[in-house]
Amino acid sequence: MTPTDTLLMAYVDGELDADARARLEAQLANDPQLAARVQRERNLRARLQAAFDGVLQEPVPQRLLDVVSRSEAGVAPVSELAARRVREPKVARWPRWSALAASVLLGLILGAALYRSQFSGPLALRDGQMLAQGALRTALDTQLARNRPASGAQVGYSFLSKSGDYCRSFTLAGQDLSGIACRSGGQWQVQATARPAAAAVTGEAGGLRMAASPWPEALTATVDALRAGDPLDAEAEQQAVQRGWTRP
Amino acid sequence: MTALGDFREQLVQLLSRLRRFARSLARNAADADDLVQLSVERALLRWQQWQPGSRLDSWMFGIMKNAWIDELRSRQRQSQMFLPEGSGAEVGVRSDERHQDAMAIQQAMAQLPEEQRLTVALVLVEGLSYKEAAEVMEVPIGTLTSRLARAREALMRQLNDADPLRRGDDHDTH
Repeated sequence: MTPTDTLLMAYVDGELDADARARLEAQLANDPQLAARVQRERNLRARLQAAFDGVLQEPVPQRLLDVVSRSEAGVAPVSELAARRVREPKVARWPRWSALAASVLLGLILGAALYRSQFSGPLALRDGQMLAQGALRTALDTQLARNRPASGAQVGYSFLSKSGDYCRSFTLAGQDLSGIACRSGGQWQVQATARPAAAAVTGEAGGLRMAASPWPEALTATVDALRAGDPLDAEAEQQAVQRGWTRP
Repeated sequence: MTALGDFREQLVQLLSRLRRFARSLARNAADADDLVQLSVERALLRWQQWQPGSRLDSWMFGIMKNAWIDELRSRQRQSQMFLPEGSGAEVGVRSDERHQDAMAIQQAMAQLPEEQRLTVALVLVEGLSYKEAAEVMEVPIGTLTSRLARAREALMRQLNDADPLRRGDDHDTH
């Protein structure tokens, strides 16, 4: 029986299983015409590859490299995100602008509530900027992550922003509020705030909030949108405190 | 490195192959790179849909295929479907034999219906398996292999005269 073109094609494309391949190769050995048909297929494959392989040797244009490194990354639907978190619990989620926008909005609502206590609260509005004050400001100025207190204003980690400012994450344990503040103009400007994830509440043991409260998803997006690199290590954090959060 | 940072890094590694795939669809190099750019932008907007551990190349080819088809439809609307002959960026650059053959192949590819050209690009140029290519094209494997068979036949017919390896003896019975 003469093999069909489809079979020869599958053979050349490496799609036959071992048995079918062996049968065909036995036929090929005895049938020069069949072997010529296979050779035709092989030639076509080789010529197609040769015709387009040249581009692999060309340098990739800078504009394409720029597109990869600079294009904005998008938002996944919530349901999909939830599914992914189950699949790969260790993977951090990074920037999503709409989440950032949502967190800013939420932050303004929560911030307005806290801001009522203008002189004693942790946040103050000045010229449209939400600034840290009081105990929060002190914590941002001086607290080292490794000395985080069990209550009150807790600083998480610190990082450098893309605009070169120091930023720190914080949680106000008594007020169910987490946020990001960046040092600019001698002030800690609050970039975004959000309520800690619900798990923080269910994770309570004996009425005490566990130290590692889940970081709000929305703020993770904020951090990644802002940050220029990895979080500061303990030594860099300490040096920044000593310099009063000015760049070296 | 963050998940997104890692994703961008893998995309950078793939760029040459994305350009080759685009080059086998669009006849001129500038259009091909525009297609790569558009596809990378789209990929980053939905990068979280890609499952780490699965093949990023296949995933990108799927996005490029859709972007390309969108592009053709919009060109069709603008009646710019057919680019002038020889609008390729390589025209007049080289004249050696290998280049001549590449030009002939590209001409022959350009004559194929779009679905066949995409199939040839995925399987014969990019080396995807039938299964992978069928997934990219979102068709059953049987559809993919029959497109591939028709495309090969058409290419061989087109290239008959130009093929230095052919003996000029065959007469297709199809």
